[in-house]
Amino acid sequence: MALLRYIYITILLSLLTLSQAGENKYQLGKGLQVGSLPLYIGGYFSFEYEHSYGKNRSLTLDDVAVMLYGDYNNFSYMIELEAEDLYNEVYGDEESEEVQDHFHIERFYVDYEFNDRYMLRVGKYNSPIGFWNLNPINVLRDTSSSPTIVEQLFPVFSSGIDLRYTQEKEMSTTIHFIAQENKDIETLINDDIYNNFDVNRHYGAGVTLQNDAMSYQFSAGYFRTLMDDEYYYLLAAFKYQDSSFKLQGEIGTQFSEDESTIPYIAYLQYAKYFQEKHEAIVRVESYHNKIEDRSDNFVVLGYTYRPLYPIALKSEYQWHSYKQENKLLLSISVLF
Amino acid sequence: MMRVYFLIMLVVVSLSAEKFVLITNKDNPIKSLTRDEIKSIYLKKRRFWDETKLTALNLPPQSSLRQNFEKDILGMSAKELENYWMRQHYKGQRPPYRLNSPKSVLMFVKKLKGAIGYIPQSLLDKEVRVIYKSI
Repeated sequence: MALLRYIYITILLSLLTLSQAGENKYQLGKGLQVGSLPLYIGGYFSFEYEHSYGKNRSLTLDDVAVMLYGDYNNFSYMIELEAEDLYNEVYGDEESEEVQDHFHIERFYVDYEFNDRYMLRVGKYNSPIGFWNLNPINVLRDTSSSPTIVEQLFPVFSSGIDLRYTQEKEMSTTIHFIAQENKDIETLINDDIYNNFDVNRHYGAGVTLQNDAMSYQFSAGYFRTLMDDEYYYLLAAFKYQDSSFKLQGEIGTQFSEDESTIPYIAYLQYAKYFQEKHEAIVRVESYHNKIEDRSDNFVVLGYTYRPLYPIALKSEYQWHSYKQENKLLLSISVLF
Repeated sequence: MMRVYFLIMLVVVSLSAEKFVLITNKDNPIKSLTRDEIKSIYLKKRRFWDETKLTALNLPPQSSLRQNFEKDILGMSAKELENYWMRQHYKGQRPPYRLNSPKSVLMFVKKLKGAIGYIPQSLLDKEVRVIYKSI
C-alpha cells in the first residue's frame, strides 16, 4: 500500500505540474516550471536487479525522488526528498518483501551568491568531494554501482555550510570550505539518518582545477561520528573527458589520531562512448579497510544504453577477489 | 570534380552563415568578453559579473543564428548541450532563458541590466553595447 501511495503522489504531483505548466512544453529529463513561479519540479527513479554469486536474487525499486528548486535574485534553493529502497523483494524468500514508508531529506539547501566569486550554501548538500559524489544518482552515473571510495572515505552528505570561491580564468578554479557542527538535518523529522556516516561534525576543504577537457580535485577533511569516532581523510581525483571517451580516477586515505584506518582506497575508470547512445565501462578498484578488516581488488565491466539521455538501461558484472562478492547488476533509471 | 564541387559549396555556405553580435545593456559593467567567458556564462558556470546577476538569452533551437552561436562559441553539439542541461537539472540549474526572436532579445537587453543575448549584426542599434562580434 505504501508503495502505491508514493507512486500515486508522484504521478499526482507530475500531473499537477503539467497542468500548471502554461506555455512550457515538458521535456523528459528537464523538469517543469510551475506556472511562472521560481519553482521547478523534477525527479528520478531507478529499478535494480542484483544477482550475487551463491546468494539470492533481488529486485529493488532503489530510488524514487522528487526535486523542487528555483532561484530568485541572489538566492536559489533545492529540496530533494528521496525514498531509498522503497520496495525490495528477494526471490526465493517469501518473507523478505520489504517496503519503506517514508521519504528522506536527500538535499535541502539555500544558496546565496554574493558576486561572481563567492557563494554560501546553508543546509544539507552532497559533499563536494571528488567527482563521483557530485553526480551520485543512478541515471547520471556511468554504472549502476558507485565506487567504494564514495561509501567508505568521507560523509556523502553534509548538513551545515559550504562556502565556495570560484575564479574563471584560462583554467577555472573552485575552492570549497565545508563546515558542519550539528547532527544531520534529517534528525529534525525522523530518527533514520540518511548518510553513509552518522556525523555531527565535519570540516573539509577542496580545490578543483578545470579546463575544457581536464579536471583535477584535491580534498582534505575531518569528521566525527555520533559514537565519537574521529577520522581524517585525503582525496585526489582527476578526470579527462572528450566526446568519445572519459578517463577518471580517485584515490584516498583515511586515518584517526591513532592509526591509519583506510591506508588506501582507489578506482580508475575508462568509459568509451560510441554510436551516441552506447557506453562501455571498465573500472578497477582496490582498497584496504582496517576498521572492517577487509581488502578487496575488483573489476567492474559495464554497458549502458540510453535510448534517450534521461533513460539509462545498465548492466554490469563485478569480479571480486572474494568470489562470493561477484555479482551481476541490471538497472533501469529515469530522470524526469 | 566532386571534391571541387564540395569545396565550393562549403565556401558558399560559410559565407552565407549569418554573423551575430553579442550585446548587453549599456549599464552592464561588461565591456567585452572572450569566447571562454561567453561559454562560461551560457553554460551558467558564471552567473554574476562582479555584483551584477547575468541573464543569458537564447533563441529557439531551430534558429540558424543560435546554431551558429553554439557552434562558434560553445563548441558543443546540440546533443551534448542537451545532455549537459539534463545533468544541470539535477544540480538545480536551468538553461538560458529562451526568447522567440532576435527583436525580442534586443528589447529584453535594453530593459534588463544583466541581460546578454546574440542578434544579427543588421539589427544592431546604439542603445545596446556590443561585447563580442563573430568573425
